[in-house]
Amino acid sequence: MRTDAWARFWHAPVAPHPVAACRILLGVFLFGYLLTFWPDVELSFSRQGVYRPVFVPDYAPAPPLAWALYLALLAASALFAAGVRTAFVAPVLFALFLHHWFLHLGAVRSAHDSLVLVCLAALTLGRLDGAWALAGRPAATVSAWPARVLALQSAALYFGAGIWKLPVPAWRSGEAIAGFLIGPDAGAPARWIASLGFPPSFYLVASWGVIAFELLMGPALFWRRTRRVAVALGVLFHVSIAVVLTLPEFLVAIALYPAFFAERPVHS
Amino acid sequence: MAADRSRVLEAARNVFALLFLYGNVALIVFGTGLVVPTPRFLLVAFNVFGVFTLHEEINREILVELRLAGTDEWIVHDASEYAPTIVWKRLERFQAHRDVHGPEAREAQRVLAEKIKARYNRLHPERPADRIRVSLQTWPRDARGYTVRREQDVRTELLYAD
Repeated sequence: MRTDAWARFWHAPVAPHPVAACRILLGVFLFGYLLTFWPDVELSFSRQGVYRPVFVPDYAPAPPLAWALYLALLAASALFAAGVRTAFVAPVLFALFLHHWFLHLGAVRSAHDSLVLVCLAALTLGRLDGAWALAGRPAATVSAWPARVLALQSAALYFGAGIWKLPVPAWRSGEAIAGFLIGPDAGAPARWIASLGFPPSFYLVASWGVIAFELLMGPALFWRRTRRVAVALGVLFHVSIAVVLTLPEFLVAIALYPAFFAERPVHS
Repeated sequence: MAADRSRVLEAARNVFALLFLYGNVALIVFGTGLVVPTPRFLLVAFNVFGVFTLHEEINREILVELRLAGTDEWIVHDASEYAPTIVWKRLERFQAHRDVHGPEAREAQRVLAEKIKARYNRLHPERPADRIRVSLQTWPRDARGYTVRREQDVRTELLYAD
């Protein structure tokens, strides 16, 4: 019985469009994100650069091969988004991203890179080209599995981020947000907000607002009645972070939202 | 044949799902101060929750100094030349936060410093360097800007010197 419930949850047939939307958004995000490394391919990913591999020996290639692998990664991201031969392209994209992660990206504990890794790993085991694919195999239904993983990861991301902030005194007092606005990576909008001289109570409310938002976001995305509002708030939240704190990397979280819409097709 | 493949795929998905659930729950619980036994690869893979939890009242930046070969002249380099990214990522990389709990951090700093020196010498063969120092500079934050108080209040801590 319990096994049936497990199988129903993970492997039920669902419409292919939500997973396809995740594939497109994630591929577009990856392409844009990876493009920012273009000026520094030799520096970041070749043996003539300044990098430190994590968990693996130093196997950095010579600059020409580093460029070839980087361009292959870009191409794989584009093909992935376009839905071309995804059964082949998705594992290749995962392997290429992993290569660059081991060599350079992984030395930084960046949540967005870890999120990309988990999502790509999950998507390699899913059917991604059932809809909206340039060279795909249209299908009425696909397994819910990749959508379930992405949705749960998205919910966990918000809930965990909220839980992790709770014990931090600066988050409970509001000082954390005030600090980020004048931090090293704060953009002009952040410094402008800081210059307005809001009282500490403003930052206190903002701080608890962020924590409440993160703790409630997962349930709100899963619940059909609140899902669309949650998506709108989530988009606003991540765009704000991208603009105010100059951290567009967390826009990747938006790519997971369509996964919450993966439900059984009406006719099944 | 197709049925066998389907069963293998479903088994792989089930294994992934179990690891996925365990990794996420273990890391979320970790944020409350409780430690659940977790393999390191899961800790690394699912370490996505510490977003914006670090609060500091100081600014930090990496300072790279190279001594020109055969002289006593040290030249200062902006660390962003070797890690052209946002500040916190540069600091993570140079302070080796991934390995902060052991000698691996110092080894990471040595590796990065040696690569900087090698890269500098490759790009400037006419003015090679024979020594390198990598330091961490800290100074108080100021709402007027990132570097406003860097000149008068800076403190410098040596991370690596050869």
